Amino acid sequence: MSVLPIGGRARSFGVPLSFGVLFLTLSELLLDFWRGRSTSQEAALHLTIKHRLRRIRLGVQESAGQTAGKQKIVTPPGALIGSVARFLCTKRTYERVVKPAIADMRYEHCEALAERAKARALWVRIRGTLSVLAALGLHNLVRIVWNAWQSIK
Amino acid sequence: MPKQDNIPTVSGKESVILDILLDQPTTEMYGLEIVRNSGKRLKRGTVYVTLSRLEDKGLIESREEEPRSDMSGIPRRLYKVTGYGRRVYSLLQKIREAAHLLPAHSVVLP
Repeated sequence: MSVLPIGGRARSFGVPLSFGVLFLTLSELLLDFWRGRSTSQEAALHLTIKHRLRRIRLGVQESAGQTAGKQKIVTPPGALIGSVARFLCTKRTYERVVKPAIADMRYEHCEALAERAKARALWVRIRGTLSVLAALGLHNLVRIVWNAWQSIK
Repeated sequence: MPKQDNIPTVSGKESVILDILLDQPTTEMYGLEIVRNSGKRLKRGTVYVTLSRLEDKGLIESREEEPRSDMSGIPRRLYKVTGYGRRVYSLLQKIREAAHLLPAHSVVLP
């Protein structure tokens, strides 16, 4: 079973099933051997085993692929702005202003996701990021630059 | 350590925060909780800066919440009013009440 890719369903469902089928087919083979059947029947049985194993292998690969395709790695809200603020701000500002703002935003975001309100979670994420920017005073900087650009134009 | 020989100035937003925190003096509150209890008088963008300023003045104190096994990530910060903050707030309330008692025309200019 070295072909098994890593995946939740493959590990939890595919491997026990494949081992189960393998066990059944091998037991059938042993029983047939014990009963003294013909070689042609044994060869047919071998083919059946190979076919079944191939089907299981393909099924497991497919299911693992589907699981891997559905899963997404998502960064928590405020991860980027937090790292930027940690680089730009003093430790005191980061600890007192940025960190609690991000922590509260994440809590609110998780609350929204727990209620399956995806739109609200997105809104919390946007509003939280803006509030962190506002707390840092960066929005003022952006506004000054924007006004300067507008006056030049 | 803040200077305690003079009464510190307390702005409108700072006063709102003290008001909310002193509604339940024994319990600690999160920044978000304070914003929710303020009834749109405070905004998320400014509350943390104001809380930081209040902490500098020694009117409130904060700590990070203990990490819990069922939660991960950045710990939230809890705020509560100090004894000094309580005294300053009660003094400010008295000054406000006295100011309300004065008639409007009796304002003494320096």
